[in-house]
Amino acid sequence: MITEDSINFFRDIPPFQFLDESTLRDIVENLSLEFSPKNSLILTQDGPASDCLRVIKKGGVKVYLSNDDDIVLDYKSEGDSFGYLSLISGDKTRTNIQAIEDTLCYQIPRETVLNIVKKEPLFGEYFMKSFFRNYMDKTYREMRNKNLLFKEGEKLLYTTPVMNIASCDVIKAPQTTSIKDAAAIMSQNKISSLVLTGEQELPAGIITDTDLRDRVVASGIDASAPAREIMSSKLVTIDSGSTCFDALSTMIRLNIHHLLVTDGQNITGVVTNHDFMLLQGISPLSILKNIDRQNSAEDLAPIRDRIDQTISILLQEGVRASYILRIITELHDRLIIKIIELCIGKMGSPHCPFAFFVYGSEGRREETFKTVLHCAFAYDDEKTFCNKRDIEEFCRQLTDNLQEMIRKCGLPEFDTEPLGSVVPIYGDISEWESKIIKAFRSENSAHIDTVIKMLDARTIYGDSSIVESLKDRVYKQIRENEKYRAHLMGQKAKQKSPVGFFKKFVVDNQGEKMEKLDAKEKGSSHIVASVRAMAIAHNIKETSTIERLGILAKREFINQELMNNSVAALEFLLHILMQSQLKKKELHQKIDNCIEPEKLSLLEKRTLKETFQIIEPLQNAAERSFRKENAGV
Amino acid sequence: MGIISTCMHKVTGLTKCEKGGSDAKKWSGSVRKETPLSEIPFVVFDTELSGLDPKKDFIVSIGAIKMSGSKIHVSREFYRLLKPEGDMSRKSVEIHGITPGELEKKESMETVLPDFLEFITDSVLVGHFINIDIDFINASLKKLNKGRLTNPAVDTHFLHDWLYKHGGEFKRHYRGASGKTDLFSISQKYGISVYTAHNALNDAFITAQLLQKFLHFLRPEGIRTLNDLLDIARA
Repeated sequence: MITEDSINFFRDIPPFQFLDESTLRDIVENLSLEFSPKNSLILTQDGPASDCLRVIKKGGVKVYLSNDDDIVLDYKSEGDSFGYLSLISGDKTRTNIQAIEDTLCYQIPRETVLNIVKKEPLFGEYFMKSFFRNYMDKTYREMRNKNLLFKEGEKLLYTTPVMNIASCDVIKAPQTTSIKDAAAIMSQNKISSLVLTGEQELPAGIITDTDLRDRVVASGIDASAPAREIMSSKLVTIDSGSTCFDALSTMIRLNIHHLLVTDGQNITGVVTNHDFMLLQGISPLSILKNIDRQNSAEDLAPIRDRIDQTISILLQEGVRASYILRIITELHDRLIIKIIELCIGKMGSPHCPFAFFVYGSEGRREETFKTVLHCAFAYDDEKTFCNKRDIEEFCRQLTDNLQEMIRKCGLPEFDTEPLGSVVPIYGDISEWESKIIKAFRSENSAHIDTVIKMLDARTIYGDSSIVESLKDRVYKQIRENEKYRAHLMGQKAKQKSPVGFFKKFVVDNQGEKMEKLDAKEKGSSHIVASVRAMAIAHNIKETSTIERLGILAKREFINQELMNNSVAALEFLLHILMQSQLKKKELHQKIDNCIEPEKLSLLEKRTLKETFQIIEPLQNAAERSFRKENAGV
Repeated sequence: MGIISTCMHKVTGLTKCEKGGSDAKKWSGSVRKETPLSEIPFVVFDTELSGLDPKKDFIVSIGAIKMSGSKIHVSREFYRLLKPEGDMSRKSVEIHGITPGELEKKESMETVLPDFLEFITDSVLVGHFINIDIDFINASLKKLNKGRLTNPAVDTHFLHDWLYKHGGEFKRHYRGASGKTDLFSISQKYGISVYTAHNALNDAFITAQLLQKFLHFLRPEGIRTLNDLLDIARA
């Protein structure tokens, strides 16, 4: 009875939850329960090594270092373990562990722990620094399993190999086959694409029903001509082991509806937009197509809801945040481009190159459920002789029209005065440069916050060279001015993240307990700010944090491990944030960036805690990157 | 023993002076009187009874768990339901929730007692109002001509009484001590979770947790050995 209760306790506690039944029974066989009253020291810094692994059954402890002042490293509560590292090293205990409530701990003797580690090496990893990435998949799996919103019928196969949904019966014909015969083959076999082969029967190209419609029927090409005249010679392929999601992502990016699946050199299947639609009900590709077809803001409104539905399904399916963000960005960008096209269709084109750019999380391709749109216009009046007043008037009108259409679409409106009422949302490169630098010079923290976000500018419509050259100029000024760099490194790139969780609270290093965790404010924004600072220090124009990290590692400004850990940390924070936002959305609650620790599993809490610990080395690397810059390295 | 026993105990006014129970002086077990508290092998046990008179009532179930000092060995447990030796009163069935039907096919005391004796070996016995449990075990041993228990025994009720009077740090820690004496009121006062009341094993586990807490507050009062412990709480 008591044995069974103890086994049940361990069944829900990481890393014990991943052990098999017989190992759990072995643990409980030698398990004891010990009581420590409030304020008593359970382990003492520099004292003897722990002779057992302790798992808190009830109560809580504080982990701290005693120097001149006590430095709190962590708080642990029910289900948390401690004493592993000193138990393994066997030399001494490195921290003080004090009961902050009357505490009951299960004690697993050293011998038992060593036996488990021998049998299950991953068990030991849980207590080590390498926990983070080794356990990430398990955390995601648990998150997916616990998602109550998940419905079997909606199951998308984004996480399964593309081969599972591809049609394996690839029909081929020589490229010399006439268009008429090719069409007949496609019709007989009820297929929407035909692979054309060249010498040695190697694939040379593909024709699709769209090619037949657009290149033959509409262009009036003779149907007796060889099919190679209308084929796409660039065969887009994907490896059969790739996920369906990768396939979908490629199809969206290239705006194609057929993708050949290959196994090395051989074509083993073909996957089409239709395959995805059949599986999902809601296909991002069909949404994309739908956006292209619409001619009014009113018609675009329902599409916005479908984008959110697609995000929900992807999240429920446990698809990684970076994949989802790619899709969200692509779909939102396309929606906004369509709205701009509709506006310009009414107003006529400007006589001067201009760019509509987004900044902040949209600029970084990290927007989750859309709450606000950060955007602005930039133009280059030096390239043409157009009248500055005309272009200003065009931008003003475009702002009004865009805002109205966005409202009709149900998208969040944008702030038409992001830098205050005297500063318009549009300007030429020099004006933007001076606006940004002026804000940097000022002590207006709201403006500084906004212009820092503008450093992540990304063009989504118009001439991207305008925004790139603006970034060039501003990044250079920041690199050369200590005060501007100080703003860039400001609070976010320096602030400490929480140290951990205690029961239903998140705890900072001062011991202050908060009932809610702002995952953006206390987590992802610190990563974003540090990476942005490093990117600007090293003149990297890419805006996505994950891409920036990749480039920083490639150019050896940070090491590979820090890059991998930071990417995993950001992904996890964004994932958990999106999950929480999704739940709030389903419950018609206000969408914000807050997470309630009470609703997190022990494994999620542990992963989040590790995430916070990755932030500090990243902040240190950011700090160093500017020091090197100063020294002219 | 269950709550019915505790109440009746008070009525009959049993005390450690009137009913000696087992006697450590005659005991020939391996645990020496000088054994430090942290090393004493304890078996904490409880019984559910059909009534309170060892002459006509009988044991319905026995639950026990082992401890070393203040460590509870969660898998060293003992729990048996026993075949009724007579009629069970309606009141006792209501309290422990074990019906005569459930017990019909269970083992007899003759089979269970040797196993229980093997489980306790020469450990120090602990219980809440343990004299009644010991009296019932001894009555059964007598019926089977197997002598009587000679293990030293500690009563958590006496231990609590002693700490109530002498435990300065104990009272400071818990902001006063419990004025009540029954197992469940005491457990509540000292923050012990009670999931299933009136099950012999669970009650033994609760008592073990009480002992665990009490032991911690005995050290500051100079109680360090088995001898010291028996001096203040011998059953």
